[in-house]
Amino acid sequence: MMKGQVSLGALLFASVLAGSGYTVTLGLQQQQQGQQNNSGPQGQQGQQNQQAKKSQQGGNQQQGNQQNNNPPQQGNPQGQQQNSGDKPTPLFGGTIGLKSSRQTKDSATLGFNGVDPNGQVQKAMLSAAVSPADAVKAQELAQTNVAPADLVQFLQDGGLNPNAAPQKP
Amino acid sequence: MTKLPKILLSLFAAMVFVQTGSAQLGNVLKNAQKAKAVADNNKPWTPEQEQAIGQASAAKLISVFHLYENPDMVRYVNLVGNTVARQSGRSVVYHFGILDTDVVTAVSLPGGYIFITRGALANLKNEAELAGVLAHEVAHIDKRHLEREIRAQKNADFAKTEAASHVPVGAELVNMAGAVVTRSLTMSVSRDKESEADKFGVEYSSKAGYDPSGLRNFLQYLASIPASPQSKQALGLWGSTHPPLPDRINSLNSQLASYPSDGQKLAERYAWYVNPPAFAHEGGAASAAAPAPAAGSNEVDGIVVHGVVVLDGGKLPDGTKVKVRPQQ
Repeated sequence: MMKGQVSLGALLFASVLAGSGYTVTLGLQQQQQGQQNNSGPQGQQGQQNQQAKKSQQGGNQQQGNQQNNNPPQQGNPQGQQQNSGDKPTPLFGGTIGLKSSRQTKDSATLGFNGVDPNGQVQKAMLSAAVSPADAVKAQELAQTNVAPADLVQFLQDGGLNPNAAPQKP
Repeated sequence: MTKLPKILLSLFAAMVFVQTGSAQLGNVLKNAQKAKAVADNNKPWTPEQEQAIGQASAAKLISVFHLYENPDMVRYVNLVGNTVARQSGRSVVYHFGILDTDVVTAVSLPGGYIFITRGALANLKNEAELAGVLAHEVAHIDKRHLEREIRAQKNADFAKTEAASHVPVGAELVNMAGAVVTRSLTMSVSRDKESEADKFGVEYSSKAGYDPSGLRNFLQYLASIPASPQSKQALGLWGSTHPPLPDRINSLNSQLASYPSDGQKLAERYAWYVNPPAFAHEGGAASAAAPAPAAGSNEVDGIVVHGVVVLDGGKLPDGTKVKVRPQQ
């Protein structure tokens, strides 16, 4: 009887611990999402601010070109003069930190995640259970969408077709 | 007394009759259930089913490769993806993510979930190539390729009829997602479906205003990569889930002859958002092939080409070795 009570108590304690851990994970995820949302809905203006921030971070590696604050636009004569030809020019000096205000080295892994030396997916990975954190990331991805105004601007900047094809269910 | 055996005999006969009848009835019901399952499996998934299965499959895929969570780059990939997706026929909300691996591939899942890997982004040359790859994946979803293969598989295996006519949840959804992801990562969809995805991918890219040869150009680049342990690891998944590159390139060449070639390539914009050399290095693509960088190094010195560092033993085409400069 006593032993049963002890086991029950241990089980309850473990459940509380597990619950706390999950809550912390969710809290972090929500915090991250909140940070992303701070930039997302701001649209072009928000992006420009980030890009300006990146420019400041870039400092001496950006060759002092103001064009780096905005993506190159098709039909922008100034941009065309400065970027002649079809060759991709690394407009940022070389570290990924300059390209992303929030991405840290720690959050990018090095190498071939998920596959064996033959490039095939590891079976253990396929059979492993999905963690709550990954489920949350998928949920966040499901909410990812581009603002219509941003897309219009993007199409215009790239000289792309502004008209969508008629769609059916 | 003499009637008793007759009564017993009659009872026995009646029992046999009932049992046989019930067995036949059982067979009839079982066949009807099978027929219903086949009919249900031949119906396209409802938007609710597709979304539930897609999101669960996305979680599974993320658990295998992890996400590369760079908001600016993810936003860019979503903008390019939506640019081509709006030229497709079916009304689906698309979500594009970046997988954190040097493997060069792209994956589409039901419900509008499309992933491209960090390794693929590091090896693309311009926005038209990215658009071509994403448009190919959009076409897979638009034409329900993976879904149709899963439904065909379910018809071949009557034991698995769970998600035929309802939105799956719990263990059923987990199993379904596992089947979807396993299929998409370990098997090629049929060759005719791949050809269809190439064909419509080119069409969506062209209609969007991109150079329609983006996908073909990227495939040509992949085909030109010399064999090495690095390229085997980077391209093994692509090779096992897609038809041979030369076949696809030939087919695309024939198709492209009827398309205008004046679409946008947008190499500068791609470089601006992705900056492949730095991206490849920081993400590990370069370091996977180059000599191991010193601790704390994260800067590449002098690399001006895209991707080659990933797949060619840390050397540029002219034989120049990748230099790694310690971080200041």
